[in-house]
Parts: sequence; C-alpha cells; structure tokens
Amino acid sequence: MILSGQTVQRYDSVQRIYHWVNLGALLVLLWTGLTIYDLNIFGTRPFSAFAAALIGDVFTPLMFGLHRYAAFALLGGLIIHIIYDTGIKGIFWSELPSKADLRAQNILAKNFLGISKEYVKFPKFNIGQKMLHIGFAIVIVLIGATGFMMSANYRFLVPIWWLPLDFDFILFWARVAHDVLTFVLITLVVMHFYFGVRRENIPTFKSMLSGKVPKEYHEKHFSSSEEPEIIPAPKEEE
Amino acid sequence: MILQALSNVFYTPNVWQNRFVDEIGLLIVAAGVVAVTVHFVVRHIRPPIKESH
Repeated sequence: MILSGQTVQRYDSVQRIYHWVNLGALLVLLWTGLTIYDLNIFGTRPFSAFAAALIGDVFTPLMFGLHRYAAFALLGGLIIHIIYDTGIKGIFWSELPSKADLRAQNILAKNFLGISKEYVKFPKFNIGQKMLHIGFAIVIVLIGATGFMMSANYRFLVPIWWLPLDFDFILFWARVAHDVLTFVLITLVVMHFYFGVRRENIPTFKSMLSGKVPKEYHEKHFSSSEEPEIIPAPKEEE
Repeated sequence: MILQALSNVFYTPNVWQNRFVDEIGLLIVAAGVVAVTVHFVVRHIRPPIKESH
C-alpha cells in the first residue's frame, strides 16, 4: 500500500485518554480484586503471596483502598465518557447495532464459515465492536453496583432497601455476581485485545495512541457512508 | 466430573471464594479463549480480504 501521508481522525484526545485510563483502572482492579479473591492456581495463591511479599502480612486494607480508588477512576471515567460522547459530541444511535448492521453481520458470518466470499466494510465500528461496547457497559455497571452493595459506605447508592431481602443474602449474592461478572469482563477484555492487535487492525490500534489512521487504510477498511458496504466476492483467477 | 476435578485444583477454602464462582469463572474465561482461538485458526486458513485486490 502506497501511503500519501494523509490521515483521517478516528479518536480525539479525550476519547484516547479515557480509553487508557480505563485500561489502567481495570489492571489495578484486576490485580487488587484477584488478591482479595485470593485466586488459587494449582495449589498456589500467587496474588496474596505477592501482596504479602510486597506490603507485608496486613495487605488487605491497602488492597481494598486501591480497589476502591481504581473503581472510582473507572466509574468516574464512565460518567465523563457518557457526558462527553453523548452530551457534547452527540454520538449515541450510531453506536447501537442497526438493521443494516445485522444484515451485514450475516454476510460476515457466511464469509467466516466459508459459505460466501462476499465481505463487508463497516462504518467506524463493526457490529462486533458495538456488541462488545454494550457488553462492557452492562457488565461494568453491574460490577460497580454489586461492588457498592458490598461496601458499608456506598451501598446507599444502589436503592434496593425496599426489597424484602435479607442483608446476608444480598451480601452473599452481590459477591457471587461481582466475581462471576469479573470473569465475564476478563473474557470481554481478552476478545477486545485479540481483535485490537490482529494484523489487519494494527493501524486502528495505533490510532488509539495517535488518534489517526492513514487515509488509504481508512478507505480500504471502512465504509464511506454511515451504512455497511458490501464488498463483492473476488472473481476467480483463471 | 471434570468440573469437580477442576474446582478441586482451583478451589481455595476461604471466605472470599466458593466453588460456584471458581467453576463458572473458569468456564467463562475458557469459553472466551476458545472462541478467539477458533477465530484465529479460521481466519489464518481463510483470511477475510486478500491484501492485493
């Protein structure tokens, strides 16, 4: 591909900072969370052993403190993200899967299964990215809510006091939900990372640092309109 | 049976953990890893778009 040096803006600085603050907060949450959870891998408990070596035997209060600060960074960032992208930039409906996206998804699935050689160029985000985005939103909000429900200081933020539920019941199931959803979140991050670093997606990965992709790459990989664009099957070589 | 064996490996009997979470969590992450591996293998055999067209 011959590059002209021209670029297309993909993410602005606020969006990029939000993305990397999210990653930082999630890494701290994962580390402190797995220490609190005391993950056991083949009879060893590496996270609590590491924390004990790093901090000393009484590491739990610090881990909880870090977990809480990182959670506020994540949820605070989420609020800024919603205000900035929907309120200021006016982006909302384009981030939800459309009927055209669903039709395009069928073409993509047929291509993946080898039934058809047609392919699709999507606008800025493809349907998989949109679904992943929705998944992240739901899971992070639920993890946040169940996290608040386990905290004596912040459980008032989740208004479920009117439900006829026993306190111990809420505490137990909030913890189970918090932990299970964390594994769902890890899985979503694994998928996001895999697609992010695939060879054909490297320029978009880099654009999360620089904000821009080469114009030629943009034209080749993305639809020129707001609708998905079908790429006809290549003619058979004779 | 398999779950039981796996949970015995990954289970720590303390207040912060229980068998249910270990089993479900392990299955969820494993399913995700399997899904991306399948995608990687299929797309390696059949790339989405030929680079030169």
